Amino acid sequence: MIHKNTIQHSLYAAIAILILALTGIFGNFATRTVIGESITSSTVLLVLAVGGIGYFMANRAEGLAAKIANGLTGSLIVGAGLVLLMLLESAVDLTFVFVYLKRFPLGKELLFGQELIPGVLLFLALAVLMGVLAGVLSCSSGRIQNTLVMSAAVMAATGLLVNQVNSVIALPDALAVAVAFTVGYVTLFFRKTDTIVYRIGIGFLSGLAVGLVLGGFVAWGWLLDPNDLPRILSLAVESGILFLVIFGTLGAAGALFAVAPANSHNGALYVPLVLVVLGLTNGKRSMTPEQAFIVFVLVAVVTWFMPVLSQRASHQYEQLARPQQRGTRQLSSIFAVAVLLVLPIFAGQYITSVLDLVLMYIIMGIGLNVMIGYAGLLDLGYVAAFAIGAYTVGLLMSPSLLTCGGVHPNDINPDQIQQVCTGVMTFWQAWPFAILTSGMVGVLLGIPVLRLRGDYLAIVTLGFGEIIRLLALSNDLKPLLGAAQGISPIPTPLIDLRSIGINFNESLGNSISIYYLFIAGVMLAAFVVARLASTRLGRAWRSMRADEDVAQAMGIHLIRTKLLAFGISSAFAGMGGAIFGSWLQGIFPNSFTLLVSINVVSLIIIGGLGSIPGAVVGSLILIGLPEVLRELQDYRLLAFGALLVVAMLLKPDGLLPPPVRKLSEMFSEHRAKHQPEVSHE
Amino acid sequence: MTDSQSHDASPQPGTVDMITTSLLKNTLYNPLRLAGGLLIFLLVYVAVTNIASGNYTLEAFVRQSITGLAQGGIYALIALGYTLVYGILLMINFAHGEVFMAGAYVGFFAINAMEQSGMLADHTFLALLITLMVGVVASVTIALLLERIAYRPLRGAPRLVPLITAIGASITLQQLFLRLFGPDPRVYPRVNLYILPGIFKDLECAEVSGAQVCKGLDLIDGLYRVDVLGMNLRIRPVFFLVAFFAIVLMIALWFFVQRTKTGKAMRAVAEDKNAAALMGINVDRVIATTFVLGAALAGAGAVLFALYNQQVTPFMGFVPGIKAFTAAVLGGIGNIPGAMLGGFFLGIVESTGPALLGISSQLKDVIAFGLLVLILIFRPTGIFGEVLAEKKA
Amino acid sequence: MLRKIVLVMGVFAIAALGLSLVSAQDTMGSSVMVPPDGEIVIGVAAALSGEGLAPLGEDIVRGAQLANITRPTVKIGDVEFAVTLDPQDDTCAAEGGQAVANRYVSDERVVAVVGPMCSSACRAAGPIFDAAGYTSISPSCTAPDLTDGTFASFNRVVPTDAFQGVVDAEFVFNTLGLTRIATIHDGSPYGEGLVTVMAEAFIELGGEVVFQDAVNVGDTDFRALLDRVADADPELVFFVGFIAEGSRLASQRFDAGLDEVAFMGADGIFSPDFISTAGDAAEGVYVSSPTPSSEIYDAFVAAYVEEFGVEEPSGPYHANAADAYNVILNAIEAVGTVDDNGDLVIDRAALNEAIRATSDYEGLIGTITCEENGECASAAITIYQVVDGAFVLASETMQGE
Repeated sequence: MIHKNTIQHSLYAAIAILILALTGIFGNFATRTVIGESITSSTVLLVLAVGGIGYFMANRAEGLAAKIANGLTGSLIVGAGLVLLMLLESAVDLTFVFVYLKRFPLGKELLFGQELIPGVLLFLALAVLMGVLAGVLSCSSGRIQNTLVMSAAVMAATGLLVNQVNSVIALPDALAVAVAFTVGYVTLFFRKTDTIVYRIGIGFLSGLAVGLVLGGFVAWGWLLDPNDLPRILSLAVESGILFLVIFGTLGAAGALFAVAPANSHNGALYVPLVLVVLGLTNGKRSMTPEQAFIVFVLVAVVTWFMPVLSQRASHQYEQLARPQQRGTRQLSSIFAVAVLLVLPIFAGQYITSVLDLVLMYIIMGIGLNVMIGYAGLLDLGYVAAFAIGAYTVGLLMSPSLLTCGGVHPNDINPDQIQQVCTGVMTFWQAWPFAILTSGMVGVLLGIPVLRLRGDYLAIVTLGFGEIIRLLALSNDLKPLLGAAQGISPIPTPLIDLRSIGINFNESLGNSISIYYLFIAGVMLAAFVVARLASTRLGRAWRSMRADEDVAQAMGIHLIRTKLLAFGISSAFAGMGGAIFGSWLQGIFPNSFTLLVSINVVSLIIIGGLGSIPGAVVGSLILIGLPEVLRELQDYRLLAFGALLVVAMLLKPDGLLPPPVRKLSEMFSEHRAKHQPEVSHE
Repeated sequence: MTDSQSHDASPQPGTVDMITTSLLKNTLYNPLRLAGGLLIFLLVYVAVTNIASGNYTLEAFVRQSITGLAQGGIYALIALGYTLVYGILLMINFAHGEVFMAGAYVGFFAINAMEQSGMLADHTFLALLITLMVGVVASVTIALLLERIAYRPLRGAPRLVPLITAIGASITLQQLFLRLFGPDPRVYPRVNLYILPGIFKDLECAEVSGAQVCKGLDLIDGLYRVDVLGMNLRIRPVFFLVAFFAIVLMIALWFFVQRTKTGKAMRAVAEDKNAAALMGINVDRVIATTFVLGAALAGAGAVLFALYNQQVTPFMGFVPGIKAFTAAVLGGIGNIPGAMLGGFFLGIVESTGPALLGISSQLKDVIAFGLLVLILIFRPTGIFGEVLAEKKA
Repeated sequence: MLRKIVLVMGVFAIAALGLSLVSAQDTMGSSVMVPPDGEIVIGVAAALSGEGLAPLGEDIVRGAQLANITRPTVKIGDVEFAVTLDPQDDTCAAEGGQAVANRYVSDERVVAVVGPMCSSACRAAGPIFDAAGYTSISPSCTAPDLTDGTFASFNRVVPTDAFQGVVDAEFVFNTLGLTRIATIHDGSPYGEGLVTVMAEAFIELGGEVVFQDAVNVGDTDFRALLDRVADADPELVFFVGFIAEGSRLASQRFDAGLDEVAFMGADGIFSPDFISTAGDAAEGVYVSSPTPSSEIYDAFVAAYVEEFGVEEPSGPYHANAADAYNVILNAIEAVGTVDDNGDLVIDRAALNEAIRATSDYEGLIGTITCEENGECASAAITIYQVVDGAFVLASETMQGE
């Protein structure tokens, strides 16, 4: 009846949860409300711990009774562990050892305000309830489980993040967008074999219609207060054409994704849903129970119908002719790029600054992939090149020993700085220098370690990273590098097109505008590295990774190949560092710690070595997630560490490993390319 | 990695000769080595001028070397763990510094309890022994858990994967201890352990009911002014205790690996896991034993470290961990005496280097890592690494 | 091919639409509107994580919280609006400062910010607050150049290092009568900055700085460095940094034979945690801090101890944080207006001006009068000494001009 491992594994889980409980996590999380006043992060955690373990255990068994029995066992063991801990806490003073229990006593949170004995009984009763519910849930159909879990997860996540994402989009805007998208989607619902142009056209027209109706309402002031219009709808008054184009495009998007592969269809469908959810919580600092209910129902409905819709969409997609399919894919990626480009406008400064950071790490991840993923050289000092890029830009863009002809700017009369420091460059002049310097230093640092392999290389590069940071920090180089004070201020990149006759003069001064610079950097890096990978050099790297000696025997110039890897990889770090410096408008040596190197290495391994999409995913997870999870506050780094371990245990090859291509496949592909008329198996 | 270094841990006779001759020969013909040699020459020149100008005295050197000795002993004890694990699994156990930290933390709770109960004052030696045992047990437990949860499931995975779990485990442990025991440093009590009153007759004397009673040398907290050869030194016996401890444990470990059956099994597993398994060796168990040995040394080192540095924090293991790994590489990773020598070398260079070269103490790590690079230029597999590998070939 | 071009053009068209939205957005947010049942949100940026830093940051948050408890509303005319705090972690680093600043400016309801905590974070946050028209009052950013006119949004209620360093130098030279000092900092902008000012002032007074060096954060063994200090034979060691390194230096100085040499720190180690960590070694250590010694301050500390169930404040900046909070509230009361709908309207630019126009406000740290550059501190530095495990006054509070 009870699975043989249930008790053992529940005990393990209970121990892990008890350790967490000893950190005062329940009390700490209780300060953060998720829904209304009473449901806090702590409640969510408790449900996850007690109910989640029950669910996990229940899933192993077959049949309702067995599932309930297993679920009950799991939940009860975890619940009993917590109860024991509460009893212990009330009997013995644990606060000397476990200091956080002083501020966050376990009993205060988990006894629901009751006395010890009734509280414990209540708690156990809840554990039993959760265990049974877990068993029942586990017994229901996959679709129900999926819907419930998904809705609950989105609801909890929204409640948790509402404080971070509460200025993204206003509800009327979100609803208008969703309506336009849906109308476009539904118009194409029953049509099958239309050409892509026709499909988009119909979608565009239907979106246009929605836009006309809504715009009319807004313009006449029927729906909303004309003095307080949200961002998109206000365009109806200010710029009608733009408004209509946006709505037409939305309709076209709906029509496009109505017939698409399952993944992109599902992804696209969740976008308006998320927008509406964000619209619901817009401007709120916490989520009320009513809002939570609406979010739950919305997500549940969409998730419930998702399998049907996606099956229909992909079925229709497969019936399309090849060129139509290709067109759909191309258009989808264009829409994705477009979403990426308009994203920061809605996301606001904060989320965009997180995205900027993610993009910066993507650039570095792609760069380091050259070194680790392709050439197989383990570099733990990537931060060195990053720092050099940043410092180069800092030195060249501000008055410094370099730009003032060897005179320290402090010794110059402030009025004459303009005349003396003639070497000060703009960002666009300094950027190539930064990339070049980083690349060259990368090569220079590569020379002494040419003969080192594996972990010797790792520790020496780690040393280089520390050396660069300490040199930047040291008093001995203060006149040049500014020691602990770093270099500040550094001007922001300025796009000035007036000299070529276009009236455009915009400084990339905030996180939103520099986002586009980062995007350009990522695209450049991805393009260059993807191209390099398939050249002779890329193949040389890979063969070197496979076996240095054999590679050398096959005529690969090891020194040149290695140094190129060092140089190219470092150049990308320098590129990222340069943007970083001007984004921060200052450079501080304490930014260049070992943690940067560790982050980059971790993200490319979590994403999948040698894979560019992997670097994107890895960066989103390792850099983006912890930033957004600010709400976990004290537990952010703990979650980060645990995530590294768990991700590797579950997916040792990374989340998006590059496709493994066997030699035979490549050969057959090659033949297929050159002799398309010959059929072969 | 296809080329495995030798994991044979025995030092070879004649090594020094081979090193010097090959050094001379290689230096002259290889431009890189020439550059390295010139750099070393420059460093020596700076140091010599510093001494000649009177900025740096032999006395200062000896004083700083003694503190460096203690720090080096700690590095050596941690480095032995790195080297053992690397020798067998070819992986950098990045979380080893946290194993060290765990020993110091749990040891603190033991010694604190004994201080409260008065046992520390009454039976100092016994109390210290218990603290040491507790620290060792804590470190061993953490290491075993690490091995079981984070490393064993990944034994067949690509080499970088366990590295990332190790980094993850390191961060997790740091943060977990931070959240469990708080961010404020825990402070070890000051311990007075008096030994050999017969020999040190004039130390730690006090008037007890009219009579002069001398308690002997205070091994842990004592600080004595000693004049040797005209040098005015301040000596803490605990520094020598740490160094002594490191050497004794290293020798014990070496004998264990060389002479016992388990040690033989460890070497067999290091050579070839599959073959060893075919020979009836329980590979899992041998690897676990390796982790236990390394962790025990780290735990013992941690308690010693905390006894004379007092403060214990969740982050205390990270920097020493990295330094110890540097030391292990310096000595030739996978090599037991090498790790120890590397540790001592690093400790002494760190404490004497900045003053010797007349640069900021902030740059002591630059000296340490710079020396690592220089040494690896001449000997790409560490001081003791390559010779053994060559011999095996 | 033609279709591809059309598609690419389409993408750029969409991007251009987006960009035009950006410029539309930039004009927003010059004033804050708080509905009648809404809350006035005030950000509190301080380091809430990190070894040795979290206690200091927490102290700032608590100071603001306590001020919020004692003065929970703003009264404009006869309408009351509740005030709520939004504490965020600035990690005491430039990136953290940038992140929290972005976090606050993307939330239009944040009226003003108490913080950030560290000078590097203040520097990174400055341009962002400037661009968004926000205003901030830092309780602890002491770098002198922050108020040189670079940042319109930056104000502070803490004396600059330029003042504290001079007071420290005068104390050592005049009060203690010492002429030879060694300085050590921890490589943070704060440590390096204060040490530089102090050393310059000390030399100007006629003293001699015999040794200058720095430590790395996270190192545990400073004996070799202290040995070099001992060789230089100073009469006092002046260290600026935080508790972890400070307590290690204080304990290890005996091993280097610096028993007779005085040890002095600054506000970074002005915390009971320093005494508990360094133990006996903390005895006799001098610490300079902008924390005042007055009756209303003592009452505030008593309320703090009561409210948060701690023995002592965990850092030196709670009073500054509370004053920053109150200065902001005063300014809101001065410039806030209630419109026809009952909404509270606060013009951001006017708010900043009102803060800078603050004069003779009796705060916890003394009488606060702001200058045009955002310098609001009463410029009072008090020097304490650890005696029998507690900080006691070592000198009268030194007032600036």
